[in-house]
Amino acid sequence: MEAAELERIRRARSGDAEAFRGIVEAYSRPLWRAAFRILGDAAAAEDAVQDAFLRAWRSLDRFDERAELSTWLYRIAINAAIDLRRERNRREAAAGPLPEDFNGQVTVRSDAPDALRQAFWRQMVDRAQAAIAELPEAERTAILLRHFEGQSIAEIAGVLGGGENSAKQAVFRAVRKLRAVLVPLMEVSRGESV
Amino acid sequence: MANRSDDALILFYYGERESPEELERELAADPELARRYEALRLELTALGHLEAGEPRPGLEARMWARLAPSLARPPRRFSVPTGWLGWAALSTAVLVVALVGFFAGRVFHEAPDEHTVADTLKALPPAARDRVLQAALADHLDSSQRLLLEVANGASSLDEERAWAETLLSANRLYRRAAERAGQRRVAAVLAELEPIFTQLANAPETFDLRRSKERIENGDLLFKVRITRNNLKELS
Repeated sequence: MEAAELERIRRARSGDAEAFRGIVEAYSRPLWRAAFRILGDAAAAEDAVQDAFLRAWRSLDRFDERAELSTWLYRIAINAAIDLRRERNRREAAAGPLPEDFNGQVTVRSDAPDALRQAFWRQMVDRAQAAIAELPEAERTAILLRHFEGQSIAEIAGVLGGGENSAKQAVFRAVRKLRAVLVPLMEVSRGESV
Repeated sequence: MANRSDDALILFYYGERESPEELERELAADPELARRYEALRLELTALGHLEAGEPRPGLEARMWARLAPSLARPPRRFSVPTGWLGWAALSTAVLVVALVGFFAGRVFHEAPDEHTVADTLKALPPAARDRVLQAALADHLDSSQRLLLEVANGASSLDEERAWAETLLSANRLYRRAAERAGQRRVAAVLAELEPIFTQLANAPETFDLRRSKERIENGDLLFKVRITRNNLKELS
């Protein structure tokens, strides 16, 4: 970790909100992207990032300075996004469709020339997001870091703390589970020339 | 024919094979292996549709504006406005509520220095007044959400939550009345749901178990409702 970042963490840990602001400004964007992949909604992703930073602020004492701040924050943000997703699912399951002014979902215009294709990819994204959200934490972290953040197996092993073989196995299991969700859709796509 | 596992193909896809040339040769020579790899590649490429793109401009500033009030007094402290600026901001916000009441035939602000502000606000076109009210309500919901989050995530200090809840409770009542008068039925309903939580926290004895408030927040899906309402109001304002 860079000396400047370490200093910022130490100052934030001692209660320096301005130092924490530097962390917020540096990491809001990558954390938003991570949250969006779980939630698929821009405003909800911002909520998740806010939750994540609040959790991080409260937990700074527990941050291990040998670890990467980015990875630590990333995991907190993913968990915050998962919590929000579960909260949303629970509410939708319990209450059915949302009232008109509580529904912020964007819908695809039915007269759009590529509406069918958009609907297909929307379904694909929904399924993939749900599948990622349901993965065990190690597998979820491994696939998100490998597939979307481009981190190597060695780096992922550093995050998960179980050695490279464990990291590989976590990626393999995650890919297998995601394929099980995606393959049927891909077959439909091929069969119907969507 | 090579008998490669899917795991080997996954490593190859991610560029993690120590000797990729060997597998490349096998793929070139073995149509069945090439077909399996192509299927894997397409499925993993499809995950690319989860790419998030970019957030709305100003994310960092928005995020800090949402977080800063919760961090003002470390660790994880809520700051009740103590300086004249803070109270001025609060009274201005409340005055917006009073202004709505004024146009409805009821005035419930009394402080003389507030009339100047009220006159200024009254001079605004109706659309601008609506935007001011929506922005003030959104800010109030922002603050309410932060308190709910503190409690839901296991706040450590009842004293701080109590003081915070007292402040929010007073404002919440005014905003709820204003929203009712302005015909914002659903906003008023959410504010009405917040009041029992604020009342409970504001009057909590030393022995109070915050988990009771947490349960109430969870059972009522309050965080969800507050978030959606706040987001809708911010879009309008």
